[in-house]
Parts: sequence; C-alpha cells; structure tokens
Amino acid sequence: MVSERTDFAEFVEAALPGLLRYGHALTGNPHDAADLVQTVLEKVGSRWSDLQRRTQDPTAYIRRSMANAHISKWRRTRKENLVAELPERKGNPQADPFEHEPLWQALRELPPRQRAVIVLRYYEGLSEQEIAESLGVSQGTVKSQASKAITSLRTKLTAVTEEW
Amino acid sequence: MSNPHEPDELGEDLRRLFADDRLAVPHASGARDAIVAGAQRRRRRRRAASSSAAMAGVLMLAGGVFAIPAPSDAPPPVASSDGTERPPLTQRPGATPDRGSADATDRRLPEPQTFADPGPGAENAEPAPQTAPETLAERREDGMTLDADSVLGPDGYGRVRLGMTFEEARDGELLADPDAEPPEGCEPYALAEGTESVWHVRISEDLGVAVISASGAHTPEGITTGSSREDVESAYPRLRAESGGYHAIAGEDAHYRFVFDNHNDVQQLFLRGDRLGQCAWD
Repeated sequence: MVSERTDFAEFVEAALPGLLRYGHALTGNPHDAADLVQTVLEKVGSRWSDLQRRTQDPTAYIRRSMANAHISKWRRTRKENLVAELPERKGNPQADPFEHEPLWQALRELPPRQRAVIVLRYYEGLSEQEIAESLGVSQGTVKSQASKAITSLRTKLTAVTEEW
Repeated sequence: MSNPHEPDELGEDLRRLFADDRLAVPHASGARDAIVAGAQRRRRRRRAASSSAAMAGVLMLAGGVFAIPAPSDAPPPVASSDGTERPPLTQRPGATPDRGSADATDRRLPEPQTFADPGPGAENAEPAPQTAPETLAERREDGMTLDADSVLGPDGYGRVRLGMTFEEARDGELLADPDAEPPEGCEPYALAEGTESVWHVRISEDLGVAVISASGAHTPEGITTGSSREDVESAYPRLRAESGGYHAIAGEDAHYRFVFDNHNDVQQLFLRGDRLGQCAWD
C-alpha cells in the first residue's frame, strides 16, 4: 500500500506539468485545466494498482479520460449552468495569455467535443481511428466533428482578417 | 478534410499553437501531495461506505492546489463543474516555477492505444478482422458455425444488455474495472472478459448501456469487422445510410451501425439502442 502510494506520488510529480498543459489545450483556460486534471488524477489514483495492471501507459489512459470527462462535463454544465456561463465568455481578458491569438479565440467558441477532436488530432497527433477509439464513437462522427470544427475555425479566422 | 487547393495551413497553425510555451500551467508545490491525499480519500470512502452520494462529496474537497498566475485584480474563483465554488487558488504569482515547458517532448504519444484497454493485443489500433470475408460467407452458408459466444445483438452481447444500468453491469462483474466510477454523461467501459470481441460499451447516465462497440464479435447474421459490403447488404437488405454510418434494424429497440473502410469492408460495427440518452451525440 505504501509503495503504491509512493509510486502514484512519483507519477503525479512527473506527469503533472504535461497533463496541466494538455488540460489547458483541451479546456481553453488554466482554471478548468486544473479542475479537470485534479478530478481525473484523484479518480485514477484511487485505483492506481488496478490501472497499472491493465495498461502500460497510464498517461495515455489519463489523457483519454480527460478528453471524455471534459466532454461529459460540458454536457452537464451546459444543461445546468448555461445562463451563468455565458456572460463570462467575453470578459476577463487579462487572465488569458492568448488574448491576441485569433486562432485561440476561435477555438474557444468550439463546442467541447469538437475542440476535443481538434486537440486529439493536432496536439496528440492521433489518427481519426485512434480518436474514435479514444472517445468511444464512430469514425464517421470524428470525421464530421473535425470537419465542422475546421470549417468553423476557418470562418471565424476569415471574419477576423476582414474586420481588420 | 484535406483540399488540394487549400494547403493545410490551419493544421500547421494549430500544431504551432499547441506547442506554445504559454500553454504551461504552473502548479503549487503542494499540488502533488494534495492529489495523492485526494486519491486516498476517494479510495477510503469507496471501500468504507461506497454510497455514490459519499463519493460525489470527496471530489471537491481538495480544491485550490494549483496556482494560476493572475493579475492583482483577478476575477473571483471560477465555479467548478458541479456548480460549487472552489477556494481561491493558492500560489502567489512570481513564485511560479516554469515546469510546463519542460514537457514539450511529451506531447506525442509513443503508440496508438485504445482508451479502454491498451493491452498488448490492442496496440495496433486497426481492429483486425477475425475472419476473412470469403471464409465467413462459406461458414454462413454452412449454417452459422461462428463462435456462439461472441454474438453481438439483437439486444446485447453476452450478459451485457442494452439499457442495463451502470450499477447492474459493474455489480454483475461485467466491467474490466470492478471499482469503475459511474458515467458522467456518457462514458466508455472495457469489459472484464477483455477486448477480443468487444472494444468497450458506452454507458449513459440516464439510459444505461447505449452502445456496444465490436472488435471480433459478430451479429447473429454472421457479420463482423472485415465483412464485405455485399455480405452486409445480403444479411440486411434494408440497410440505410445515416450520418454516422449505415444502419440496420437489430431488434425491437436497437440497430446495428456499420462503418465501411475504403475497400468497402466493415471497419467498425456497433450495436446501438434506438434511444441513446446522453450517448446520442455520436
């Protein structure tokens, strides 16, 4: 038990920066990233030895869990807090290091599942098939979500350029 | 997605953005210990009482372990996912070690892995057809001599039934992780028997088991991954195109979804409830 705990602590120490960074890409802001990482790591850590028996690469498993949790969380948040969330969207620019990045701002407006597909594709470098398996959905869904996301990003970026 | 007239500049821009050092999120020195303690609490609670209400409470106890650099007029703490407010974040700006950028090389995964069970058999992400289509067709004319244990449909797979609740699946020892947590929204779970026949089942919070994703399992009509389009059409003459693939009626409240590859062979096979609840976005 003690060794399991030590082992998990060492894993957290090593993996935390990467997971937080990934969470930032996934959620679009550092607060949600911290929330997501903490939630998923605590879940994972509570059954650490089981997970190690089942997988060679806990980090990959955790990243997939984060992507799924992020999508689920969004669904629940949207259902319960839609009105409360909306006014925040435009405000609070100081906390955002990517304030002047049109692409980052365009990403913010994607629904989380589209964003998750984009992050798995361009951050993780996964194929459509791998993304489908990560999220437990069909490849057709991945394709259509990616295509919607890309179209929407292009449209927003074009709009930004024309405004200037 | 790729268009010859439009080079993938956006893809390049996305990769560049995701490699940016500013994505790093510094964490407080106590973050590791707080997470370890949080995990211990979760485990203890689960072992002791394991009422789901108790577990939900543990989640938010260890708030505030990460430092988010923020200007002095920082906004109030963000509401977390369940609407509760977390305590203010602890570490002071300036005391922030630059940990995140050191991880840049960790961004690519070494191997494609399946989400549910990245064991040795799953390292190749391409689901290997269990049987060549020709052999399958012969066998089917022979009168269905496919492995009888590996039948997907019309309303479930083995002891896994569509609509079964998460608790029924877990308590029936059907899930790979006996301590699995209930789904939030819709989540995939690997089965205890391994991934030879089924990659995973997706369980929705509201309607239970909604989707079963086949690896080697076959339908009662003998269709499996690797079957040809012709075999599928002759087994299911009323096959129809839907946005996520081709659908055929499986049973009263369920259908199969087939996704074909470039050679018109079945690449993915799902059994899905007609009502998907929170799994409906696929």
